[in-house]
Amino acid sequence: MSAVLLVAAFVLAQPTALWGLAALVPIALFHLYFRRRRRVLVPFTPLLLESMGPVRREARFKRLREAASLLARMLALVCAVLALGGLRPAEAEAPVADLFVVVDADITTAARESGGATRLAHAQELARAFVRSVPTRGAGQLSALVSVLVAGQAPRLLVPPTRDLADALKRLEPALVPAPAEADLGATVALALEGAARREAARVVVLTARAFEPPRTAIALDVLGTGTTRRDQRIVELGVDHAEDGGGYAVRLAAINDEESARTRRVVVRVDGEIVASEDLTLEAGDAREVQFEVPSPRQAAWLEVELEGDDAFPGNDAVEVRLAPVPKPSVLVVHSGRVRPYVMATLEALGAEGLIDKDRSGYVRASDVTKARPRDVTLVDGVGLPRDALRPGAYVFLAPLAGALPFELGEEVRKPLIWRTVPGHPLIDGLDFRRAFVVRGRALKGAGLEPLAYAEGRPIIAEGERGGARYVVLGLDPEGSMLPVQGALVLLVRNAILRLARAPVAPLKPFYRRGEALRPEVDLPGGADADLVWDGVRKDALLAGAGRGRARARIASDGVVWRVPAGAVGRVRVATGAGTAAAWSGWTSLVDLDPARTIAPARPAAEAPPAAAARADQATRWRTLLLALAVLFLLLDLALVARARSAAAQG
Amino acid sequence: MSGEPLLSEDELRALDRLRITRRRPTPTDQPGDWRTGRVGSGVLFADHRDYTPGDDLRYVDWNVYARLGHLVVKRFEIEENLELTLCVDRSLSMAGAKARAARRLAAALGYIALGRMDHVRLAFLPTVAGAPVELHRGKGRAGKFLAALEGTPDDGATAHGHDVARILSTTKRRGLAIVLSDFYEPQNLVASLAGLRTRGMDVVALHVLDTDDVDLTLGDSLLAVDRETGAEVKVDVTPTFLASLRATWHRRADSLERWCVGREIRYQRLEVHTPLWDVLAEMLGSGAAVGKAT
Repeated sequence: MSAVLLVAAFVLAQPTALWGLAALVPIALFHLYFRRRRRVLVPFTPLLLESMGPVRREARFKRLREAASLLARMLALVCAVLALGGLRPAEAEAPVADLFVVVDADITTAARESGGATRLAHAQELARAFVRSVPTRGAGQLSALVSVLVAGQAPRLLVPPTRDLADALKRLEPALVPAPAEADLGATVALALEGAARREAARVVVLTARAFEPPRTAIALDVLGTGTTRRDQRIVELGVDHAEDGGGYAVRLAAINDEESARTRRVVVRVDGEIVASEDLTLEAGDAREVQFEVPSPRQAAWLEVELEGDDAFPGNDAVEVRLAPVPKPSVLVVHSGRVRPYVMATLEALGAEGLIDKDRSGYVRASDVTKARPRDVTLVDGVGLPRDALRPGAYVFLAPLAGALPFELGEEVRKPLIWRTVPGHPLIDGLDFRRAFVVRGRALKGAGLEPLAYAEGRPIIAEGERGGARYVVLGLDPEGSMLPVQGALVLLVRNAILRLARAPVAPLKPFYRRGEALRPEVDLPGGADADLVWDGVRKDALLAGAGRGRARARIASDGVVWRVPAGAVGRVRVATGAGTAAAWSGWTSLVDLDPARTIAPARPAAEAPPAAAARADQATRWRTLLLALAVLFLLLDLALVARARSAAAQG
Repeated sequence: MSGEPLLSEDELRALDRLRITRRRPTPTDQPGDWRTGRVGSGVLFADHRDYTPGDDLRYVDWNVYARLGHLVVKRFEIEENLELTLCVDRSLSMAGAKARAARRLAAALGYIALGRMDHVRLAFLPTVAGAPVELHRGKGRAGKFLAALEGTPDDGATAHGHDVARILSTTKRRGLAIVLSDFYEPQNLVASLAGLRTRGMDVVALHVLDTDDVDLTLGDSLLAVDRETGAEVKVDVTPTFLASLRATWHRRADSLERWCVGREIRYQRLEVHTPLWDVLAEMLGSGAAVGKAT
């Protein structure tokens, strides 16, 4: 079998030269004739036998020498014939498959390997080596087409199919830049396979360290590794929430160690460049840990940066930046019928004491005087009807609303409801439990822009909404005569409503948005829904053109028309609305790209660069020279053996 | 055999001047020219001894009695004819130069003996069927003797011990026995000589040597076939082998010579390319069976 493979591995340019092997026959016959045992009559064979004993080994060596001489002579002839026949490896003669190289330029290829070069640079060098491995036909012309594709966020044809070696290497010369986000390797490979399918013989080489399941295909497809380092600790999760006490932010961070040994990194939290917290974080090999920091509320909006200090191979996942809005202390105006109900007063006192509202700027006013009062951040209408012209754009909390100016309509009365249902997970009613509440009466709510949050006997009884610029939360229950649990829940509801309505205008955008997440504001943006977004990272549709700065125009509205953060959009983003109008508004948030599955840990061993191929013509010449040299060598060996035999005969 | 006669006329004439010698006398029944050294009824005066009654009065030396007055009788040395047994190896191993050289020398020795009226018993080894020994006496038989030597072909394998036993069975006389052979005896190198010596004969071993026997071409690969037995031996003629062959050949000759010396057997090497007269001269010098005629 191996002999068959050996024969199949070589071809002859001039097969007719094999007729020269016929000369082996006379050589063999000549040898057999002259080396045959001549029959001679001797007088006394015992004399020969007696003399032969000690020299049998020499006789065997003589026969061996004769056989070696014949073999050398025949091999010399075979080598000469094969040299004349133009023997060369079959691979040098076989059509060379066109080569499609796919270089993965994923964001993780920015990882620096132990030698200091990036993984992408190594992959680029491998690509050059593969191009050089294609045999040439002389004059720098490759014997097959080569093409190099780069898998970024979108496929890019770096080297169009060419046979010009110099041109291909020139196009491969400029250093490649890793994609800002996950590269679409599958699409690029599919593109390469599509190109390869049009060729008679083609081979696709994918250079990536990432886990990649190649598609089933009849085309030769090799996936080769490009790196080895695992020296990376990375932030995989981030959470920024208002602290429970409402006075600042709680920052939660999860990190993973991909390295094969324990590593300690220092977590540093900065607000507008100033360190506000830090902690050493020791991560065992493959370990994931979570840390949490309390960050005081900044006086003004500020950038919060969380960073894993220290060195690793891939710093791209060591820091995140988010936008912190100042926690607002809204002022509250309580509109009453002439007597402030005690639980409302107690709620405001408590919020003031906790610093959640601006107590000094808050106040109470009768409904008839509300138009004369200074506007506050939130107006709490407590069981009274507003005058007709008193409803203006702003934030309102309605408790047991009566007729009057309202941004919604009142429905039928609900008495002593027993069956309650709430919208799960809504922050307004988070922590409220109506199941054991006893309520004497309430009023169903309805109207355009009203979003029910809780139902009693199947009718909306708590809701939020907006109409005519009036954002509101309404509690359609009359606290009077209700049980304490309801009153207790009412305090929470009032607090949540005041804080929700107060914060929304100040920070309509979250501190950060993830890739693919809808940039949906808490409330409609002040300047309107049509927004211009500008960020530092590249934009997906700008990648093909090689543009840098991201820019998008989208409708950013809380009513469902949203803009989703595209892959590659990272960093600070400025959202501007109402451009050119009096209601012009702009705010900042951050786009982050945290992916727990994104690791630089290689999925396969790094590949060795293939050796550069010799020119085909050179290869044929080299084989001819080698064979002729062998022929001469065998002839010299034969001559040496013959000379030795003759010398021995002469000495005898 | 070659058409050329074994001995030319000139050679025959020259041979008349030689005689066969022997180391010690051996008793024979036929008085002749050979001085036996024994005192008896010969014609050669030996010495005197005192007369004792009963002595033949014919042998009383009257001259001595006349001068001394003392009876003494003359004693005479017994003279008898030599019985020469020529054992010529005619086995196939001798074929060629060795056979001719051996037969020429045998012819010369036999002719000398016949010229002295000695009995010549010609025997071949192997013996000729029906007549293992031919007896010749007198010069008149020289022609037949030479013809027998020339006409008997080389044949058969060497079995000297057996053949000598057959020869000895034809006579009870002792005499001079000359064996001309290459002594390529596979069983017993000295079988013939030992048999003759045991009978009490005066034995001369003429070892016929031909360097062609060991003159193989270096580098040859041979299938050597034994002329006598047909046995085949594969031989690669290497320098070492050739040296070993020649050493063995010499060693065998030396061994035979040592054996002969130890048993009072005269040993003479006969190199086939050596002229006959040189051989005879050498024998003359060494006293091996040949001497000048008196």
